[in-house]
Amino acid sequence: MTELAFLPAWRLAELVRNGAIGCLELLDHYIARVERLDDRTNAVVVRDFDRARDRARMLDQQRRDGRAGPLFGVPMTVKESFNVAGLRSTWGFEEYRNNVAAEDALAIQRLSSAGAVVFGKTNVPVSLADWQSYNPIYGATANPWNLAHTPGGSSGGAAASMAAGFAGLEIGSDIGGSIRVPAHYCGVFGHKPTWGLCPSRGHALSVVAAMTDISVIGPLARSATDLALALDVIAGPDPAETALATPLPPPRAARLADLRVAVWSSQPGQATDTETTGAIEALADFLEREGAQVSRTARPEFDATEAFHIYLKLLNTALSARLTEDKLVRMREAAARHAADDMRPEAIMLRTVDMTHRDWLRVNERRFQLRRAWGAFFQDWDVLLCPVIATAALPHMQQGEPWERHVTVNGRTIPYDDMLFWPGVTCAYHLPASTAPIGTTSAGLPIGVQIVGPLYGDRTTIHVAGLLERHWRQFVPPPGWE
Amino acid sequence: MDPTFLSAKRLASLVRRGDIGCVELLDHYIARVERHDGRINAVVVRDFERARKRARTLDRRRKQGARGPLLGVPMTIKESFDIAGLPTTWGVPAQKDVIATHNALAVDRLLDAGVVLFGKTNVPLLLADWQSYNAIYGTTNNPWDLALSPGGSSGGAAAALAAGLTGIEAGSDIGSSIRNPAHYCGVYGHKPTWGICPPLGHSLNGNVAQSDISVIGPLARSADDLAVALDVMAGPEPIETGWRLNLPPPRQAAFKGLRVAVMTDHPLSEVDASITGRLDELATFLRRQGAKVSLTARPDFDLAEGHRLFIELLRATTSGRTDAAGMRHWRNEAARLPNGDESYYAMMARGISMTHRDFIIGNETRQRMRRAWAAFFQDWDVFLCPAAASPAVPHDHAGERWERTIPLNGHRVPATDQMFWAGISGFYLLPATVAPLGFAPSGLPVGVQIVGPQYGDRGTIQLARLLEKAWQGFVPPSGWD
Repeated sequence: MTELAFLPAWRLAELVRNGAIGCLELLDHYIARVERLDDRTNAVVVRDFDRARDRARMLDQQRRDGRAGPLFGVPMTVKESFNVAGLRSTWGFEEYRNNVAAEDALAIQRLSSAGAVVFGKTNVPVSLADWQSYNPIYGATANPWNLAHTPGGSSGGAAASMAAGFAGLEIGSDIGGSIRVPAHYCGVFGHKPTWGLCPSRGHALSVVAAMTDISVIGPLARSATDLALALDVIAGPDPAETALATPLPPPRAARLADLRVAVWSSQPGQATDTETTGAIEALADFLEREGAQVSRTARPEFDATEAFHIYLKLLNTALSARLTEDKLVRMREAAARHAADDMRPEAIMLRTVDMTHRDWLRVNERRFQLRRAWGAFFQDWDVLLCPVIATAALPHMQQGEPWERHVTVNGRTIPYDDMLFWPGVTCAYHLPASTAPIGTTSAGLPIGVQIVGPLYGDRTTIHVAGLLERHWRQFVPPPGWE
Repeated sequence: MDPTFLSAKRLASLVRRGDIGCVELLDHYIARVERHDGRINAVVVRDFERARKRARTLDRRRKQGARGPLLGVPMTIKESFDIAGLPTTWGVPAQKDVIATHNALAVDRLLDAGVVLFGKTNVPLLLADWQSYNAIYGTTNNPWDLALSPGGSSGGAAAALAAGLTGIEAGSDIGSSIRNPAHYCGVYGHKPTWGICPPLGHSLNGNVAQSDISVIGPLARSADDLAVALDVMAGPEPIETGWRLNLPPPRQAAFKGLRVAVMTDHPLSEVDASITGRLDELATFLRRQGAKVSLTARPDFDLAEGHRLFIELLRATTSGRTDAAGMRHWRNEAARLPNGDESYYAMMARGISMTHRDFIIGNETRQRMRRAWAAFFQDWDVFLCPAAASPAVPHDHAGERWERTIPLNGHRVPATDQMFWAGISGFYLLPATVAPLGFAPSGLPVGVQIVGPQYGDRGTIQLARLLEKAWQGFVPPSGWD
């Protein structure tokens, strides 16, 4: 029954529907795996087995009474940052150690209504602000492909849980790669929806009612089909927004041969590991052979550096309300140590510390102009393929603040925050982006690709992920997790 | 039949039936502009020749079976909308010779619906006043009394409608700029739910990002016209392919059973007795008609706190045009004034110099207040209140807006107090229709602001329609035959 653990959610739901397996039996299978194997990864850090078993028993009863749902009986873990009534929601902050949510996040309500059985929560970095997942409350999560490496972040526990076969489906959040990077690091699928498509109510430490710019919630899974299934469940306006319907257009092209694909595998001035670039180029060659229209030079009509810098400013200002006074003081001091004309990412971000709303409006206006350039670009191209981030999964690195760290890419040392380029150049503009596994490095670590589409083109990017899954590479479990 | 003061819907039906031609109808309004507009100076940009050409084309197309909800309706529009080939200045002298190269999206949509645009109407400098005067086009007067302002910032729009110089209008509103002039001139105006009418091409600098709180919407001589024009102007712009607007129908077709909350006054903005008295009478009337009326039901948050937050976030939202020297000035002012100073000036200084971080924190509070409004509208269908503190006021071009006072109830109050009635709906992104409420003893028109739940635009317009039939409709000012 090991294979069962690595089946996609849609298959699990099918087995339950057919009566081939019971909800409780399936849940117990995953619980047993978590109990047996999660010591190695430390992914499922909040466990809620008893309530989940009660619910699974109830669902088994309901199934016999004819009740169904697209995720009926699928055992699920969710990112720690989602409120689940009765469970801790800490975002890794020591001071929120005893913060217990009173009600489910809207997305959790919707997933439960679709029949999912939530039985645990998965690890995150402090404040969800890293591409690693460690914090003083739950410790560090390791990558199932290599325990010396991070699974990524901030939905790092989620991606590890998928890769190690601990759950059927996951849900995470993303403002700077937090769904896409861990999916890529762990060799699983992830989808960052068009901004605003999936209401994030209940994905907040305090009761945040307003939407955070750039930030989204979205699924992680072992199959592109699951991304489509989960997106349908969590998308659509908050009931308060009654007059807005979001009828997502169907995929633009059914077959690889019908696709118009722009490939952006490296960018001058931005470090991208040659193995990552090589994997995307190999995929481009394949798509060409399959008859797709492929361009390796098509780009949106903007200066990529400006597009990146706009992102850095919007990202940091969007997150500024979460900063403590103490952190603000340290950022001001750090900003003062950088020259005014220092255009390195960390300097640009630090300088936003006290940005006026007036200056933000100007940056926002430029963002919307560039958003239109993306819009024009996607008149000519159906999807853009690009790296998710500069490298495959990195070794654990837990010293200092992210902006003080460095990494080595292609033998060159670069600031950690320089790696924001690939995640940010798409999400600042609210675009949907799916991540699919496309290969491995020579060291055996997974490599994923970022499949970017036009605003509300979510079904297109997920469909392309599905085509790659069928014709290029599907999810492969890491060795040693039977 | 003299078409002058008919609704746009009636004008369109006359054209549809062939009772009048597009050219003939256009020429009727052009003749009126040429004869009457000298007195009020409302239609400050004129485009008669191109309009006549278009009207001739429409006459031909109509005979070939072309249809459109506003086919053949002569229209003027607020100066701030781009129309290719015409100036867009917002009253800024430096913009005097700026000619738009593209139509605003709303202009294109109105043209597709069949209107004949033949001019643009006056605004205050940067659309930032409840009067409409500027160095380029001069001052617009109120057709009810030339010594008074028609309001602003869509002041030329409301004056042109009241004086019978045009068939329908469109304006914009961030601080009552549709509602205030509709109220001052005795016409109808609708401030839509924020975000449903894309403002692309309603921007001085070609900006494409949508401004918070700010909306565009129609002004007209009839509630029906607001519904027709809203349908034309609303809906996502082409780049936003993923959402569809699906405005719910009005909750109630008649007065009977309608749940109405009425608020005639607030400590932060004293209201002239001519308005509060008439609102009280309306409440009594609605009760007699079978509506459930409450004079005390309010959303469950502190409206005074909401008002202070509104002014700060509004002034932050409009701070984009402030230059570096201006920012230094306002930062110094904000630092100089005590934190507890709740004068409009102090709140403005804090708003303009606000950090984005504080804006997000304030926005979160606003969002919770929006939730409280949503809960309120579970129990109530509409919320009625004043659109402004007084009927139309005399021209007053002295000093800065925040230094001015207006007369009401026999004394003078700061003009900016009535920003309260702008923010009570606009800040929370709610739809608000202004409809004629009646007349002050002075003979000046007054309006009622009908506020509804988010996306409840059809409901607020529906009540305006009911009131038009049973309570008070548009009445032309005298002397404009």
